[in-house]
Amino acid sequence: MSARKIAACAVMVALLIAVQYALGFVSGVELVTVFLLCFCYAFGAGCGMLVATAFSLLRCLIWGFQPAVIVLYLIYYNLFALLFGLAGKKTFPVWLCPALLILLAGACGYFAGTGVPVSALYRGRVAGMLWALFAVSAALFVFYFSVLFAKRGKSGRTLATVTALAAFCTVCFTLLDDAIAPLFYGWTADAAIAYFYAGFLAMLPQTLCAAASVFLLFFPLVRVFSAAAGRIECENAAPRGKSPEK
Amino acid sequence: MKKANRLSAAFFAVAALFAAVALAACAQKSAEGVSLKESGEHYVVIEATATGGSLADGLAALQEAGALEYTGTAGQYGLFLESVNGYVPAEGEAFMIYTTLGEYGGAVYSNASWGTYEYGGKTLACAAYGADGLPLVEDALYVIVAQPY
Repeated sequence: MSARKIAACAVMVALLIAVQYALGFVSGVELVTVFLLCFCYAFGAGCGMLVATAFSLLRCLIWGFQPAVIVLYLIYYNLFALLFGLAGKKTFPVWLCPALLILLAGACGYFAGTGVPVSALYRGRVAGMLWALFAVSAALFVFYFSVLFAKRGKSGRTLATVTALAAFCTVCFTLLDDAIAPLFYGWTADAAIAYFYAGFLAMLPQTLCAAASVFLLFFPLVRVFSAAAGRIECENAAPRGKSPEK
Repeated sequence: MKKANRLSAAFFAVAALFAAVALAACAQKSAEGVSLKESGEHYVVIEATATGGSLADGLAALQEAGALEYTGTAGQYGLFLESVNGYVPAEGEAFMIYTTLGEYGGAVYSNASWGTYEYGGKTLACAAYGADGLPLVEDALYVIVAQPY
């Protein structure tokens, strides 16, 4: 890996920490997902996993060293980087986006319909967010099939698929935490289930935020990161002592 | 006779004064739906006297009644307590909430696996929600204490 790529990764780690810190005070809003997704899409899995590992460890300087959280971040963000790094190189299968959206919408509809046993003070809010996520999934489903045969169908399909993947990954983050924390701390099954339901309150707005931010920012950010990645490749390929032609 | 009347009057006046002070003290330690049972340097014990609202509402009511002081910010899980009665948690500490409210209305509000606190012969379990998410249920106890995490 060239020094320029390592420098780009370092800048990205700083950006992720700054973004997470700046929005840490705003409930339910995070931009780490969209920034890391677009970086991995443009720079590839190798750079993405380097950024994911460095981010997972360096953020502890601000938020403290909590082993369960470190394990969670290291596992999740490296898999995330691998997934979207590969996504930048390969085409998604046609069935992937609809399958993910059906799964997401189905789960939201099920929990919204049966009710989530969270605090009575939160039930209305959780139900509202579940239906909102159901609506977003349904809208993405319609969007996907409407662009499937459109002139610029490929970019629309890519957008719908990365959006669905980002939302799905955000849900998986909470589910992974629901598995790691009880195992790490040795909680009973009842405690683990209570922790799972209490996590809905953070998971739902984060999932909505991830879907919205990726849908809106994917193409602009990928353009910026791809330009940077392309420029680095050009500079690396230029003979020593000569600047690359623009 | 006159002296006895004056002494009686003085006695009743002092008694009335004590009663008034005691009543005022009681009023200061309670508010609508909650009462402050005990407070120390870095902990407070609150009892719900009626069902309704959240613990955060109870804290606000007690602050308004002058029974306690607290500051906090709105976080991802609701009210994040920053100080209680002037006490700010030290490095590595945070305000933890324990309650006797376990399973109620189909939801679990605390769990002993996450920690316990002994008070008045009762074992309170660590709350599953912040002050915003804990409902006030009559006769339930809530302890807010600064502890290492």
